[in-house]
Amino acid sequence: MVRPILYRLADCPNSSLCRRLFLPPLLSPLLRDVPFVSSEFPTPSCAAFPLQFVRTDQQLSFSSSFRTGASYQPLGFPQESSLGGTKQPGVKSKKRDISAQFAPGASFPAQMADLMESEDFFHQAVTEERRPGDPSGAKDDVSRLSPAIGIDLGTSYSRVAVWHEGEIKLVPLDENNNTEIPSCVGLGGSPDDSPGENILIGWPAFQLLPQGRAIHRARRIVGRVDTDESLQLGARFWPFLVQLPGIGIRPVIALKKGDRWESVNAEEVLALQLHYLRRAAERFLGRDVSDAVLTSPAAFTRFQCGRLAAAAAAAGLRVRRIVAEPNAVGLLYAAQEKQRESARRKGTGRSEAAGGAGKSDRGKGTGAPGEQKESGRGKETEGPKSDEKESEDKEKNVLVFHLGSGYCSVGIVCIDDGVSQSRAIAGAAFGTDDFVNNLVARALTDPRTRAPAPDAPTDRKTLFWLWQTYREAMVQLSESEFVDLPEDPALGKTLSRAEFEESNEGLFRACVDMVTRCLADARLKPREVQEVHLLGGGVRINKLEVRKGREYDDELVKGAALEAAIAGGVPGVDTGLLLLQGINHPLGIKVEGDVFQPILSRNALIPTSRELIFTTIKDNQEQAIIQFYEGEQPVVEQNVFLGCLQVAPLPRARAGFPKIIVCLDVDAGDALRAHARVEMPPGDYEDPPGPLPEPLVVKLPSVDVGHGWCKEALRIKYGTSADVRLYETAPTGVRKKDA
Amino acid sequence: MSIHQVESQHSAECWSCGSAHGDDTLFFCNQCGAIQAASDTADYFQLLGVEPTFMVNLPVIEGKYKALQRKLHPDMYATKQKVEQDFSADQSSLVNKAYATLVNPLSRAIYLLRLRGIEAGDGEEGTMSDFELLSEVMEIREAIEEAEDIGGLQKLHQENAEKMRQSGAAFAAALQAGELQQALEWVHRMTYWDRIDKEITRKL
Repeated sequence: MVRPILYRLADCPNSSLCRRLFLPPLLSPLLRDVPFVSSEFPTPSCAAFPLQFVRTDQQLSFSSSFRTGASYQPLGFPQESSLGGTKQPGVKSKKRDISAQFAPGASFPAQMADLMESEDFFHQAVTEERRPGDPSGAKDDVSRLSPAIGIDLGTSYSRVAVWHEGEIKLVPLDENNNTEIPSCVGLGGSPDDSPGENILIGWPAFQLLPQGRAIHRARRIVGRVDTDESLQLGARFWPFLVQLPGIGIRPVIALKKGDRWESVNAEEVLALQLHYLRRAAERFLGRDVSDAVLTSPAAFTRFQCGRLAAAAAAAGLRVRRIVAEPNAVGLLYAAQEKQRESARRKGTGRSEAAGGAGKSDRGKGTGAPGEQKESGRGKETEGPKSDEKESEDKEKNVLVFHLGSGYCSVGIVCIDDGVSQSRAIAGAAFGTDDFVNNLVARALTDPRTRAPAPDAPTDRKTLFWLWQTYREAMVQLSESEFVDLPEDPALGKTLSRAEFEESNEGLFRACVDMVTRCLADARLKPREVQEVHLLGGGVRINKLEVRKGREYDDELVKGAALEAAIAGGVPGVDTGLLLLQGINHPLGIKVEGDVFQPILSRNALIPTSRELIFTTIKDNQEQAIIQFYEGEQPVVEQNVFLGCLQVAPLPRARAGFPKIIVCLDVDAGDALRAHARVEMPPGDYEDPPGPLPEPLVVKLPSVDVGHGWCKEALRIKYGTSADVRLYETAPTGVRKKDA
Repeated sequence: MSIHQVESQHSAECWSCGSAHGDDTLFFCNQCGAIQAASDTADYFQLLGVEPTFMVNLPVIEGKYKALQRKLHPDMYATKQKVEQDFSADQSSLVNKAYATLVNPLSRAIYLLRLRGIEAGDGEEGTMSDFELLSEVMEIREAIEEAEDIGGLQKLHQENAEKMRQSGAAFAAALQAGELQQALEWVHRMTYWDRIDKEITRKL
């Protein structure tokens, strides 16, 4: 039996960085010799590092005028309008009562449209009210360059960070200056008792969850279809309505409005959240924000990334990059290491000159005050110092393991002097939610018959309550062997760690497999991994704990903000920093016999392109339909359909004669394009071949639904008549290459 | 090749300052330092600035690769002109391909043969007439199938890595001696070892 140990990673000097994670012991033999970096992270030597963990109270030094101005109201959309109008009395009020638009009768999507319409208003409000004394508002060049913001739109919590005044800052997202808020969108009454129902986001929406009046976990739904197994399992325990007919359409989700359910879709929910986050960033920065870098789980398909980008567009954000989670962590760490390294070098030089004992970069006074005007944070970093690392080779392989609520991402990055290069990546569409799902499912099953227990509750509210109870119990299990459950017929008396482990054996195994695969992909032995970074929930449960100020997941969003600054060419960012990302899943096309022929392999570093030559399978074949897929499986059926293009008309020729050249091109922003053209090799033609089809470029994904229908339709319409196969290069042997 | 290259062929003159390129102009103009269109003649070894041999120094390749990406990656051209951004995208993509090809022994061997006009396929299994090798491969595959525990697999994995190393050395020697047909046969062997390597890692 798999016996997961709950590693409670030692509290680091920065008490907010305490992380706990469920890790199966199978991981530990794999990584036995690897020091867990989290226990000494951040190390004292990051004292001089400006990207280092910014305390909430320090962050907010930005805006005294902000606070002393009109009351800082919650960031619900209706309030924003009033804020725009009241913050500076001098500005001509263009106030439009948005809450009035959100009339009780108006449907949710209509509200969304209204929201979009009111964009102009928001923009004007923001640009007009330049707060006096706010440097970012005063300097034109700063606002013109406007670095993109980094957004971590997590499954359960969202965060925003941005490169601001020479460092990465977390953006406060609500009236309590929380820098993370639940990824929830709900409909509810407004705090100021304005009529109608308002769209609420974050904690206010979180409160509405049990009543079904809010949506959470939209990131688990987006870009997935109703046949998705993990969606089907998880959706049973969600408090809002989810309909999964199981025919390959997007799920119908709805929230409670009065006494009926109102349908929304996941993109809308994400767009509302993103809009809210964007507004929070604009408020923080005092300028417009139009660009963002988002993080995504490694398991996200291109289709899901596309939907995420579409949601961002609806929220008025252009997505510059989508960074896979392990890469975001890698980049931030590369930057920190570089900073640490140069601080160390400076520190050592100085102390040698003074005849000191070296390694004097502990704390504020002896740090490297020259480092980017940021010596003032030294006081945060007291703690042990790892001396043995000093002499180490500067290249480091870092394994990042992130188990969030909805997705699990594993990656190995190679850190070298500010460059973070992705070596391998793996992801799965399960997270800590699924651990809880398994617990609840177990509780609802009769242990003897393995059938659903006869008295199992079926109503949504109870199921959600059960789910939350177990979630809480799971967290407590990280501290104790047994947890007492509340008294309820549907629950047992206690939950033991053994039971928990037993229910989730498969998931633990999957975690291990991902790590193993990454190591194999990167061609690394476990001992060649110098550090392991662990992130993510497993424990992030109730808001009480959040209020304690745990920040361990901030690295994701900070990494995204840093990439935004680098890719945006923001002055002041170290130009030696670079993120080299790879492709998360193999990309290829369907060839004869429903076989998946990869063109670009997993982990190929981007930007990249590769072409393969295909040919017809029938004599005088009139056209070829190139079907593009993404995925790991050898048969196309199990991979994700990205789109297709038609190469026609093909010249009359024997089967296997025309060369259909397909090139897949991924640019630095991870946009995928397919190029196709036809060539006729020289030879004797019976008929002169007609004109060749013109070269064609298609942006992928080009279909609307990630799975199912399209390829079925293609099969019905064309069968195998438009299939292709790999062009025969001469049987492996000495052969002159083509001109 | 990517779209940009169709539009902007590598030319003999710098697009920015008009000065003539030397033979060694791969990425930047010698005169003004502006990024240039990707070379369509330079091979991957030239791009990464290493000797075109099989026995390469991997850390050197890693280092050169990162140094190039630091200068060429599109992230560095966010505030530059469109033409420079396009060149950067092409150059960066080309360097990525060069790196990926040279860093893996099998693809490096195949590429070395290709530079000599010999097509050894894309790491695909070809027809094989060497029955001794075939039966050896069969045996190993059976052993993989039958391997019960991780330890057994790891042993097979190590043995296979050793075979890959030996074949690589033999390939390098054959190439050095100009025995291309022999070199090709070694590449075939390496193809098998690569396949086996993948099979083992899948089971590990």
